[in-house]
Amino acid sequence: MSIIDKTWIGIQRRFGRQRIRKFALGSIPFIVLIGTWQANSTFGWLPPVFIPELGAVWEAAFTLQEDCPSTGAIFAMHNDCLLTNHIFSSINRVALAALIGLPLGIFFGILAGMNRTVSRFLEPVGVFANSISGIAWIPLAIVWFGVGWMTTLFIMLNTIFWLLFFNAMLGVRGVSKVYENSVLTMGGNRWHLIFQVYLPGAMPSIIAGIRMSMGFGWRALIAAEMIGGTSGLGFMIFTSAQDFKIEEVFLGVILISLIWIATDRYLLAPLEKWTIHRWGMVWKPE
Amino acid sequence: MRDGRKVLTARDLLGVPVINLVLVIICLIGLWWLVSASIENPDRYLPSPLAVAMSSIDMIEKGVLPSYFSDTLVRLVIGSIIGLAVGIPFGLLLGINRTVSDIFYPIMNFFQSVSGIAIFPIIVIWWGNSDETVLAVILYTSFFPIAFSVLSGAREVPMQYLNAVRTMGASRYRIIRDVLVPGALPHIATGSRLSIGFAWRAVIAGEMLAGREGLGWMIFTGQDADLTAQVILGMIMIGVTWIILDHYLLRPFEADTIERWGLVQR
Amino acid sequence: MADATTDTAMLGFRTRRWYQRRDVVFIIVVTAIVAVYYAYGYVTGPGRITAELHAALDADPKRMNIVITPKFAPEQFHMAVFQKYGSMRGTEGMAATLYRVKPADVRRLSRRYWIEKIDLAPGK
Repeated sequence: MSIIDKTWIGIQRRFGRQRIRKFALGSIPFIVLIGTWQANSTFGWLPPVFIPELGAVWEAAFTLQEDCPSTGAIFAMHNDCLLTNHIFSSINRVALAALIGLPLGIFFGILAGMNRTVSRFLEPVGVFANSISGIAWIPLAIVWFGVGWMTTLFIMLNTIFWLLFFNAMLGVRGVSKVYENSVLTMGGNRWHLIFQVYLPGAMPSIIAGIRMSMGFGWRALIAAEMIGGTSGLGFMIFTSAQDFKIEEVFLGVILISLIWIATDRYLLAPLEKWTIHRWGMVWKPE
Repeated sequence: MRDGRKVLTARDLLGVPVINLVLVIICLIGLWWLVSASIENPDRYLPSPLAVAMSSIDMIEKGVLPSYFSDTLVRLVIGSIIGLAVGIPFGLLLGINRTVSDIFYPIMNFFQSVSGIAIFPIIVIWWGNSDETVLAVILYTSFFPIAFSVLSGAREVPMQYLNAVRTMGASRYRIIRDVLVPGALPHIATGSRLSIGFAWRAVIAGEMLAGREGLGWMIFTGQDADLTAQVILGMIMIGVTWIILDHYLLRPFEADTIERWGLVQR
Repeated sequence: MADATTDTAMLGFRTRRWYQRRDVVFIIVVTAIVAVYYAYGYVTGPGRITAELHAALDADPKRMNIVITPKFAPEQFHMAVFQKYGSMRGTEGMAATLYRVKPADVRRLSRRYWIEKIDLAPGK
């Protein structure tokens, strides 16, 4: 066997034939897209203001950063490091909103779900709060907090909180009364109830709620930055669009989608896999 | 189910006991009134329920509110219909052939993560602040949920049915019409509900960003003109409209479709 | 003959006709409300047009000048509506003068419920 055959067989053994096939097939549209994109710039089908050149988008990343003094200044969020400033602002808000919103939502949701009458009473509240999408809260948030980071943080916090509250409440309500009664008969107190029955029982709802609310929250954050923010990726693409700087807009859009794909694929989906799939709480047929 | 009893009680209409809903609404409005009365500048930060009610009556009398409301709904309906009309065939196409779905799945995933909100600035550069921009954003947002749902629905149709119809000599068209579409109908119904939900959010956002008249524009200009009562009125209308749409149109559509077309495995 | 396709006890869902499906009922109700709304406009529309304007409309000119009186002082929203159909000439009190309006648009304006009456503009 020639060396090519040997390496090819080695690669197939390492990665799996179906995986290679899926990867190769899946990259065809991307190659076609990038090819047409480049062809557009070389042949000039559409003016560059509508579809920028591939190279221009790549360079825009560096143009935005050119006044940045040093790598240390990037992390200190120096004023001139525009691109990294925006990226870090958005990510900081996501992290902060997740840090505050997730525990609050889960806590209040479980609390509300514990008492049957209270949860029946609060269910319309949850339904109504969820039906006012996070984006519709933006003008009210601007009235309360002005234009700035507080508004954007509030919007994402709001979106995460209500979705998790509702999901946690429904999750706790769905736990069969048998489990509650069994823990109580064995002499458990309220803490045992919460940690041994309610929390694990509501876990599928909560984890699914975390994944959904982060998705909705991220989109609402971008919208809030567009309308009522002063920094962040949403703000960057909105203002660049007003200046018709389409390379920056494309760059921002690609970054937004990459950040979400990375978060979902490497943070949220594994979270779901390691908790509720591994513990057998939900069955996802393949 | 109900043995042919045709009596509609209020409980059926509302889904929760009437007394429960009434109590919750009274409590919420009471809480609202209290908070509004205890802050220093209520007209700007949290107008009282009375102020919001007066604002709504004023806007209805002047014909402003019905016009905005119908503008938004028309955009939602047109955008959803086009989104569903494009998404369902696309999903079926992908669901028939495994190779085709393997080709398009990753790029659809990529474009789905570029939400409609993020693609708005690009479309605004292409088409300016117009109705077409809002419609394009609605289409973009509502296309992916339905396409993915239909794709997974078509893939889940059991092979026995496909093989059975093939052994009876069905052409490709008959396979699609008689097996794939009915088999995927429950997923189509669920996907439609998700897709119209996304479209609703996109309508409001698009109106705010592109400055087209409608409910989203109403709350945005309310904030601009310092008419917080208008903002809160708009938010309440957005919430109530979605609740009515979801509970009386979309969920029954999904439930009834699953009831009629769902396969035993569900 | 009670087989599986007609036996009520075996297939409960078949007892519900398609027009009894909850979503279809919702669509029918909403369409009915919208139809009533537009019918009201069509019915009360001619009542808002004064007699002289009726006569002028019957002559079917290309464009005409009208004076619109809403039930209140027109605001920016209503001015924008008027601008869609013709060119605004001025407002005195509650009445707005609109020039170069097509007859079909006059009738369209008359169907709005917040308009009190539409008159022919004095002079030509």
